Amino acid sequence: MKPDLTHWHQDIATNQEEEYRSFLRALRRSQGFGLLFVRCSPAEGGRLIERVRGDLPQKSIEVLTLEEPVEKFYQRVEALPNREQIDILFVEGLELSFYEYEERKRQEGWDSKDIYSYSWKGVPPVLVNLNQQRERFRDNFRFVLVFLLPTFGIDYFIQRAPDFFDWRSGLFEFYDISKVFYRSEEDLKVTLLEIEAFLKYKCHSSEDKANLLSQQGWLLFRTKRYEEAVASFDKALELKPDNYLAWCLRGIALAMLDRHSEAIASSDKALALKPDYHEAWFFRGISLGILGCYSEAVASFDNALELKQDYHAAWFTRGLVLDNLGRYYEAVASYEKAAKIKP
Amino acid sequence: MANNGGGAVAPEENCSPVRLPFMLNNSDFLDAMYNAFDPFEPLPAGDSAYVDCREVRGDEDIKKDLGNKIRRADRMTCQLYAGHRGAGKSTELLRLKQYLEEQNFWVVYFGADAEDIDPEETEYTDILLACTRHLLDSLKDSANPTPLLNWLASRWQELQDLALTEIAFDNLSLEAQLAQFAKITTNLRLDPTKRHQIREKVNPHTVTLIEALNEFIREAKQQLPQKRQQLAVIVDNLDRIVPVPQSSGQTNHEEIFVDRSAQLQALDCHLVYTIPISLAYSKRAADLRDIYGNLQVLPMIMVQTRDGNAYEPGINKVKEAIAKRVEPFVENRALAPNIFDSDDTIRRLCQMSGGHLRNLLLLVQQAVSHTDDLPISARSVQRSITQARDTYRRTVENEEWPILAEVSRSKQILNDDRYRNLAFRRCLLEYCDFDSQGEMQRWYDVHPLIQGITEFKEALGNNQP
Repeated sequence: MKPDLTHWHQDIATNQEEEYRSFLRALRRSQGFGLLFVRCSPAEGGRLIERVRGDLPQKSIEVLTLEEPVEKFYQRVEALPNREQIDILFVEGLELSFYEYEERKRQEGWDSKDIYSYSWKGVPPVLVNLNQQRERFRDNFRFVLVFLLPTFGIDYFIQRAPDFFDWRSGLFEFYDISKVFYRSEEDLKVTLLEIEAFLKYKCHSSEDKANLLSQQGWLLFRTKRYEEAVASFDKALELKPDNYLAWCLRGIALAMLDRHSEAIASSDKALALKPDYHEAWFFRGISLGILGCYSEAVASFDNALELKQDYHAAWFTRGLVLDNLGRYYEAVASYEKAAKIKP
Repeated sequence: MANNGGGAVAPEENCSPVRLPFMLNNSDFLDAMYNAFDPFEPLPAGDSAYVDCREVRGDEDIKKDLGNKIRRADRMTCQLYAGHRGAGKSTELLRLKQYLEEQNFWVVYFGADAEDIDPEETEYTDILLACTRHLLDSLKDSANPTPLLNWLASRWQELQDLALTEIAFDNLSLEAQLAQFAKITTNLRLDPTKRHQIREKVNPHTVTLIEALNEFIREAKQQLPQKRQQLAVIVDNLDRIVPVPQSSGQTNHEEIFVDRSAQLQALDCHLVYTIPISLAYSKRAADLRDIYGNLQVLPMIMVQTRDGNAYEPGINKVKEAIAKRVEPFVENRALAPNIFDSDDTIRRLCQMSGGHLRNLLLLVQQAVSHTDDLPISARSVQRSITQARDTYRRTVENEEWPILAEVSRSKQILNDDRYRNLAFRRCLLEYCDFDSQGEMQRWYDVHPLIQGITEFKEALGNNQP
């Protein structure tokens, strides 16, 4: 008889509340040493810890917040003053120890074969340390270690500390990519790595994937990685060609790379989809100006200004282009407009 | 140091589980069950939770395969042991230790850890030094360490700079000398800048180190503790050495276990080394068999036949493994319908584990986490399966799905890094059975958890014959 595994091959959807109840049970039941992983954003992690404190008042809970890369994690835990009294130790910020590796990987242009093949290349030292010392953790600590990590951090454990990760009693997931905000450069880095981790899997609808890709393009743009940004927008637009914002940003990225003809073509695409998109008119005007097509540039700025009369940058740049055309009076008028808006 | 060894513990009789004197309520039962499925303790030899899986692991029996070879050999043996991470290697090696102890062997078992090896940079010297240290430690009360200390003294001038010590070796007490030996082989091991220097000092002298070590061993064997007759060393955890490509084009695994096999075999006692499973599948596997004789790989428990049918004897063994873990507090609860809601739920749990024990433990422990009251429902089990599957999804790279699809058809792996990679990550599992002529056959399959992943199913669709 062929076993009917079909419905067992189905994935089951769980809501966050259900997942939290399971997480709580695991924490409550665990005696002695234990290892749990939680996939969450840093902000979500903070909320989670507070909630667990409220729900498990009988447990002694400590938080180890790592604010810089560590190599010898074991020693950090060993040095905790009240180690003997701890029941649950949350660890946040371990992903900081992976950045350097990510950075190297990017700069040296390693492909995924280098990174994921079983021949390891430059593994973050902290993971080697963990993988090798798992017996010491088990033998010397009497509490549950809970690692709070973003997706790419969990992936690191799966790939690069498989022996340590193998001792987990559970991986709990509280992650929603749409709720990841970036307020700082650090956040931005995390988000980029997160998107990369998410994109590795095909389990998204093409809509979701296109959104992730254009978000990636935007973040790459913000970190001045223009070429990569263009590549992300290309992929995003292949899946969802009607995203005028992506066309526009792609145009700007191309302009930053001094590829102005392509930039203009990209802005044109954006404008074909959304003719009243004043930013696209503006950046189109800039690229035209740089290419020396001054009259067309002025026309483009005029379109932008028709849509947004108080567009300071457009008035000002329009003035520059008019100067180049020798239309000085008009240029001065344009500057004056700009000055009036932003003296 | 993972001190599982030293032969200090007398072999125990098979013990039956200690039953609790009172009945647990369902909630306490689940608490106890959660902890009974912790994945991080290998079972001690003779533990009541051990299930003899020989018949569903291709008749593999560590006592027979490795143990008898050691027992019957008239000269020293050196054998390799491999298996998937979490398949039960350490549990099996602890059984081998007990078996040999019953045969009047003194057994030094140790799991090589951070004090012994640096997983990214291990060389054969490190393994020798680790053996030396553990032998010294295990035999310190009965054997004479002079040969080793002489060796150390002869190297002292060079080594003391590295040990950051000014003391004269000769003036130290015997114990302090031993401590210095340990210090040099451990503490400096942890300091990456010193590592190369130490090797530079030690490597040219490994021949004399081996001679000294053998002199120590030979003498030690004359008066082993508890009147034991023979000496065996079991080195566990060497499979954790990270495979790193070397400038020679080989991996460090090949350099250690193939190129340096003469040194690894040179100790004058019986030896068992664990090796990474990827090496056991590598193009050097034939060389390893030539050098070390047999290369023993611990296969999975066969829960499914090659044609994808449930294999009852295997499923029953996995069920038994679950039953034995809850036995101490089970009272009158039946596995189904009291602990799990139906027999079907348990069977599928067993099948989805792929016959891999640590996967099984994780699936059960997670299912218990999803459960407030008995019985554990099909849905809770399915949630565990979903989560474990997601981890596998993250393990596989995009270009690897077609390889998995191919193996799921052919049940064989090719002599190729891409396959070894997937075996190393446990996406491909090794099974063992017998053909109609009674000949043992090894075969491979995709982990059952992977079979439900969309990407895999797509690749399988593209791989239609």
